[in-house]
Amino acid sequence: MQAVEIKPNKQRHSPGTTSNPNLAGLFQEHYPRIYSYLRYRVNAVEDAEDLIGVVFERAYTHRDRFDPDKGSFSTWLFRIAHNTLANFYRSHERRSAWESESGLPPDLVTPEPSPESQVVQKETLAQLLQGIEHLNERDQEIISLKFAGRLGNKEIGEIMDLKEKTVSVVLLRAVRRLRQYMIDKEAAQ
Amino acid sequence: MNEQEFADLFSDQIDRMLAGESLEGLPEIDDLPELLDVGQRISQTQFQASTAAQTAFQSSLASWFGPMNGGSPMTFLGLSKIWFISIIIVVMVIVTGTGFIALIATSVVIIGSDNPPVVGTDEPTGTAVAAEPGDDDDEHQPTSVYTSTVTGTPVMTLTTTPPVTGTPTMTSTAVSTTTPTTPIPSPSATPTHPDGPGTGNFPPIIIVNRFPNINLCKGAYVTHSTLVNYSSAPVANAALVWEVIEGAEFVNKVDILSDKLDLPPTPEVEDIGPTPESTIDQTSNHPIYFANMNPISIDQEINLDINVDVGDSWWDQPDGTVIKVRVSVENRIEISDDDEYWDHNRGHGNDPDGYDEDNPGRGHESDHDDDFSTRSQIITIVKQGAKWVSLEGFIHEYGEQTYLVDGNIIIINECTGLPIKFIPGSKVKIIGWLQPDGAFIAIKIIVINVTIITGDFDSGVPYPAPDGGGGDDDDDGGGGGGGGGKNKGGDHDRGHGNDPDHHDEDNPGKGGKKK
Repeated sequence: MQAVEIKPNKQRHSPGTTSNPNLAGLFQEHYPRIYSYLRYRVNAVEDAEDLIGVVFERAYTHRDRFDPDKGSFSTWLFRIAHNTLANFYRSHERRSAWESESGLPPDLVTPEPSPESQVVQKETLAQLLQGIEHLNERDQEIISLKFAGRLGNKEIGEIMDLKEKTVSVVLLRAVRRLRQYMIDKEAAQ
Repeated sequence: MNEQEFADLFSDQIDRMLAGESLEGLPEIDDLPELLDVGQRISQTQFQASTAAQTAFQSSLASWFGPMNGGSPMTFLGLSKIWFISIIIVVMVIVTGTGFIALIATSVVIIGSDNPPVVGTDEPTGTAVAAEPGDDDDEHQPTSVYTSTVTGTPVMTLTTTPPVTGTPTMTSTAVSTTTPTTPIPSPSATPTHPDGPGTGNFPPIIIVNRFPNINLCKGAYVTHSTLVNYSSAPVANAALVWEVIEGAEFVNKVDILSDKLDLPPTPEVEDIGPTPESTIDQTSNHPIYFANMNPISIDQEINLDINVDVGDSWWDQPDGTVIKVRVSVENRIEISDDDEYWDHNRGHGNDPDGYDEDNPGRGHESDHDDDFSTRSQIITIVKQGAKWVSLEGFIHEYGEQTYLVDGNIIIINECTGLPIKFIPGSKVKIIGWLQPDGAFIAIKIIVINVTIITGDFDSGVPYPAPDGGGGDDDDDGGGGGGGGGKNKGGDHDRGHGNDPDHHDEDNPGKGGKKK
């Protein structure tokens, strides 16, 4: 027989519309990275846009729970996004693959290449996205947090409950697997 | 260079790349250049939310933080807000002035002319203003859907009983306090609004509760909540953050289990993460009974005081999923005719020690040996986004099991022990949690029955009949045991908020004797 210990919150949030320009600025600052991170993990624009609304709503609702002593604001916000995604996956089937056969996602932001290289880049990006899609859950997550969220290994570790050293190894292997996928894909063609 | 060192080097280079630094002059170790090339391609793959989504986000920020949200200044047609408004004002002045001059000139011409005017209706004044961009948008801004107030509600007030002229009026107030504290039923047992939640002009508030001396509807109440903790590395003690809780009130079993136990370990993670010592015994797969669960909410962190077995096979599955520590909270409660021995009041909020040895159920000397003791544990599940609500006002019947309080529809569970008929002028105060789905968990209901007596009080102020005369003595909880002189139903009101001494000697049940 085991007991369950319950630790009540030290403080509860107080809903309301308090003016906090700093927080608003932080929200705005993180919005693009959070969106990109979510978009890496879900294949539909609509889902990503729905999710990001949930993420920031949760962040706003629980803003009083952010403790800078426990981690950075980025970590806290990405952790909310991470958990929101986890909740999303519990209730949604993953879609099969990026619908990149018919073109790149509409919300993809790419550097403007020369016209002749656009075709090459388009194919490469499509392969890249498909490759990421074929990675396992953890690899996708770590790549998303790293390249879309642009987080450090320490922050990623805090979000994924991994040691910082472990993050670097997992990241290395994920990128290796992705590269191997792309090599195999090219060879098959 | 071992894999860890190589991985650290790779991560450092990626961080430099993401920071915009040049990666020239790197040592060509193994496949580092190729991997960095892949990393560079990924880093160039970024997504941007649609304009609509960004607008919605800005709108949310404005509603949360106000218009001065610390972001970039709002612009109209590329102009700052101040410049835009200034230009609009100048244009208005010019147009209005021009129109005014034209009007005066026309009038002068008309007055000075013998011929009648041909056309005098083309008035330009103000048209430019009406056509300014943004006006239409403002008209189509989404507005609040819910209206929580009801106009024309037949609210009864005390002033409806005017005193006789020259005659003193006395108002006596009886206060009844009940602490249901127990959100109960499974969804099937939850009362619902006839029109469904949220379909009215104002959100229905559902009281889900149980009163001490009222039996629940017969039947089985089962709720089952599964809480999943995602992680990616073995840990010795898993602190489970309960993120999603659906329903669930009575907890009599907490399991930790995994549907991935039978899967073989994945070789590729053998050298990653904590050492194999982190694998602990398999007892975590055993149920934990009689969890001591006080009222919880999702805002609370629950640490399981156990070593959770997290065998490596749990952590990195062949299908790519990560570890799932699953906590199942199963709640089952059987209500039948035999349940009269239940001490429904046990552990309710206002019982400071959490035990009811001083307040046994019917037929019990004490609850310590109660086989059903675990059922008396109460959990109040407060969902994310729930709001603390306090309603106070006169209560009016608003249909079957439905009342109107302070402009809000309140639906009472048919098995709830509120008075069937509130006497006219009854006032209630309800405190509880309003859930995001419109359900309402009543924590405390205070019923205040107001009796107004008018008459000639020259010979003294009359008092209500002390025993059995009123029929409105709702605060003693003795309704079930009335007539026998013995408070068979127990001191149901004992320990409740408005009873300062926690004893009801001074407040016996109907037909009961003062102790």
